[in-house]
Amino acid sequence: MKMRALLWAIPLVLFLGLAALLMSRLGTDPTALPSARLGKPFPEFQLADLLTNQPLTLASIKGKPAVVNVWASWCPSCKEEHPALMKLAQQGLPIIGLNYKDVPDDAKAYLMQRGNPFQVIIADVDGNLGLDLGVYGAPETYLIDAKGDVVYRYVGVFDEKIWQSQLAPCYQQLLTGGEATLCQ
Amino acid sequence: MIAELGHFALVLALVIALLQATLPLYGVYANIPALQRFARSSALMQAFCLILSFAGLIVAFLQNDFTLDYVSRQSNTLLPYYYKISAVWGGHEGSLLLWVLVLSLWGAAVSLFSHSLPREMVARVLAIIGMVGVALMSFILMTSNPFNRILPDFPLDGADLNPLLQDIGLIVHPPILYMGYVGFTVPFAFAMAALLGGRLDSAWARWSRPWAVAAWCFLTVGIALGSWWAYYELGWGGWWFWDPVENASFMPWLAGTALIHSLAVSEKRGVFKAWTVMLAIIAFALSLLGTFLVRSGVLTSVHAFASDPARGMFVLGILTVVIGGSLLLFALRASHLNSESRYALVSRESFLLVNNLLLVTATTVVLLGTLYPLIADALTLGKVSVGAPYFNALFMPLAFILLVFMGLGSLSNWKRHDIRSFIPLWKVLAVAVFLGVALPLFFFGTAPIKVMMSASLCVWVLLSIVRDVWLKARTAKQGILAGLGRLSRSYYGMQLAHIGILVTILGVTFTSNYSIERDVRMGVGDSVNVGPYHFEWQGIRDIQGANYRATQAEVKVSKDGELVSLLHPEKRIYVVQNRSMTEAAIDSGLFRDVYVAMGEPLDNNQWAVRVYYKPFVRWLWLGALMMAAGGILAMSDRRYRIAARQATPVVSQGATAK
Amino acid sequence: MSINLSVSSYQLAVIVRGMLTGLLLSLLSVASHAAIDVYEFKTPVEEQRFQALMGELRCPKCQNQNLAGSDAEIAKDLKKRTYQLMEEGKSDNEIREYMIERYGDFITYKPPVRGSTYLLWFGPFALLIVVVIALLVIRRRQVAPAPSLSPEESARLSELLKRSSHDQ
Repeated sequence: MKMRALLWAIPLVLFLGLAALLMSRLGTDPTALPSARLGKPFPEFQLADLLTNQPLTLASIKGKPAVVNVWASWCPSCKEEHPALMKLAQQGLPIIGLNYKDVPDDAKAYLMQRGNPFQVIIADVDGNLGLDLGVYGAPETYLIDAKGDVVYRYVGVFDEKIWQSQLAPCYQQLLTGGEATLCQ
Repeated sequence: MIAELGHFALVLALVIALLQATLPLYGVYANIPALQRFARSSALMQAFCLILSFAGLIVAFLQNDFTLDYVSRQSNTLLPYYYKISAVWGGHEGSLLLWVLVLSLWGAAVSLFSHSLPREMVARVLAIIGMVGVALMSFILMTSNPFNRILPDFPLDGADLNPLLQDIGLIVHPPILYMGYVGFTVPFAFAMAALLGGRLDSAWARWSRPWAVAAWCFLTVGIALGSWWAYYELGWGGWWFWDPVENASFMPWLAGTALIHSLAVSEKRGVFKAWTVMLAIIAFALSLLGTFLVRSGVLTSVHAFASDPARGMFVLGILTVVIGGSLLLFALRASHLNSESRYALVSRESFLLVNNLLLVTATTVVLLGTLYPLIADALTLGKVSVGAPYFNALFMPLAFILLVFMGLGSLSNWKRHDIRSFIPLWKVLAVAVFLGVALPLFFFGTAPIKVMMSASLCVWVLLSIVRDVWLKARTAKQGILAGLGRLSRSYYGMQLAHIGILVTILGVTFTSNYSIERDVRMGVGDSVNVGPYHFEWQGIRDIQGANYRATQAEVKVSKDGELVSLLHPEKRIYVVQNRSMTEAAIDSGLFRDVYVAMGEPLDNNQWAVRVYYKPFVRWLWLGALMMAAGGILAMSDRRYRIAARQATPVVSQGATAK
Repeated sequence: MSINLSVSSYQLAVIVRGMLTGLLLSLLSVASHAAIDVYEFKTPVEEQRFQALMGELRCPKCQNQNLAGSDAEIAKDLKKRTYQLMEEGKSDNEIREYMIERYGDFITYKPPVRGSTYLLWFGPFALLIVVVIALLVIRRRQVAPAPSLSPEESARLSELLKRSSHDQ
């Protein structure tokens, strides 16, 4: 008899589990997509630098931990985050630009207007590198380590607060050559 | 001013609902008939107030009152008046007002059409409905008020209704869908009333059944309308995407189908009582869950309303209290629900139990698939997407098993059925298999295994139905026609609804397996063959609509050299939001649709064009209409109408017995 | 109650802001009208393969749309890439793996069958089987034939049965 009573309570228990699940998911962003390249090497590529036209490959950008910023002149949010990038570049942070699916002239004009925070700029005119990287919409900001592995991805407008709270600790760890445990 | 009146009417409705939720229950507890009777009048008053409130909002839209935040976001002066009216339920706040309006209308219906029911039962039922109304109206007034004003700085013109919504689909689909969705509150309320009253018998099942069937009919039509709308509107020929919002409406339908079958058994045989109550709770819970999923932002969907976690929390709170409370009551009281008879392992009851189990499994499949991305996220198992491949893979075998039992079940007897009586039916099965293999081959030339299985099973069930009707009719001494006349509406309703589902399944089978789609570039003089049809591009011209400009093409469709139709697909640009949209041109027929949609203009005066040949796609929705018609027929059965005419004394004897 | 109809600059700003937002939202498009890109295929079977893949792969940026139904830039890029891979002779599985390597499991609407998704793929049917077995077991217990009893035990049994059917 007692077992029957417990049976009747099963729907209630299942429902409470469901409610708990739903509550845990409120406020999270269902469209947030973690990078599939985390912990894996940055993809190989053979493209030119936007400004100098020098050929660039993966070897040219790896060697030390760096930030890779995906941007384009047609992207309104990129304009918003540009000042923060300038400030961080002035503080000595190595930022590599990935100019994604852009017209080179427009991109150059954009930089002339707003300043160039990038050490090198990979001109990914067709978007092939972006596709290999798993980019789905500018702006995106990646952290790569000395080996050239992708350790972090942030999607959205990048600013000082986000740098301080999310990327800086990870970057510090990479600099000291330790385990990238803070990079999630 | 009108908006303020509407707002006031809404608040008044909330107060009335509050009284409706409490006083009648107290009246039952303290045995005060006047308070119990109050339930009926309060339900009517509540409906009246909400009609006024909703009318107020409609007037605000028609008058272009952009001082109302909601109106300024949904409407525009250039919008035709019929879209202004339907824009009322095009967004979150307005659609919630529609929700509570529909709820109050169901409450009013219960109030008006339940005179044969015991007063106490009606009091309880309406009180529960009142409680749900209180919850949702509070939600509206506190977080999603359509009457909020944005004075003093308001726009001179609104942001316009999304062009995809500027369509007849928006006019019909939401109201009918909501009638179904929200309608499951009534069987839920009946189930709660039964648990509260401690009594659930055949009479209760007979009273609840028409309400469950009515809600189910509306939901069936509502879902079919949504599918049909998406088909012609979105331009890629799909009619079901297993999108979370679509699933949110499909799950209550599956549970509701199980419910109406379970109610039939409870009414006739006095068994499955716990099942029936649980299914009534589940169907309504899934409705509320759907309301939550669509508005909370936890799942991505094109159909979702703008998300807001605060609102999501509120709805989750409502969900937890209402469903948690009812499941708790169920857990406590279910053991009191006694079975009134026994049945053999092989019997109609058993087959219907299997039916229940299969439908609940199907509901679980849809629920699990819809929520799995959330589960994976919560357990940090990574991001997964669950879509059509998963749902189709699991749903198909369930549908096949269901068809098998549907065929067997309608031929079986109550209480005990001799399984050996099925053996001679192998002849019917053989005919069905033959037809199921031959017909697709004949029409289409090829037949994949799943098509053969599906077609054979559907033909088999159809033959079983025909056989059953014939067997029952010929027992009449005056001959078959008289025999047919004697069969009840309930019986015909059942068979019609069952044939309806066969029609839908056949439609799904054929259109999924035999549709042909081609994306081609077409300019003047170009033509393409798709299936048996020949499409010739005649040219384009510019046209002007009420709030859009468009490029319209003319495509000549012919078959075997004979003209079938001239199609005029359009590529529109809606001026306010500067959004482009493709308006597909469809030549529809009973056995096939021919569909042309324009993409982007290419060079050389050519256009990217999508051309479809979709056989049997109309059967999908035709089947749904048949199902709904079957339900309506069953509801109009004598026994529901006679019960109303019977004098109250017979019934009140049962009412006093607790 | 009168409303001042002169357009203040603030009101103008509000209107313009509203329209710009609308415009922006349409550029970062999640428009759900068909993206019709024309590709040439060697055989109808190839074309069907492509269409099937377009139905199965998800647009990473949109609000739950597959590549067939999405107009977004990234969706167009992925379509193009899929076509290129098909032209190179890659199989369906290879194309899926290619996409998953870059975008994760998210990109396909068919969840992979591995440990973490056993619940998803096998749960419902497993549950069905468990429930059916449970119901059969409960049934068997109810109708299990009792061993033969002595007359006193018989009498006691019928007494107990009368009482328990009341409770049930």
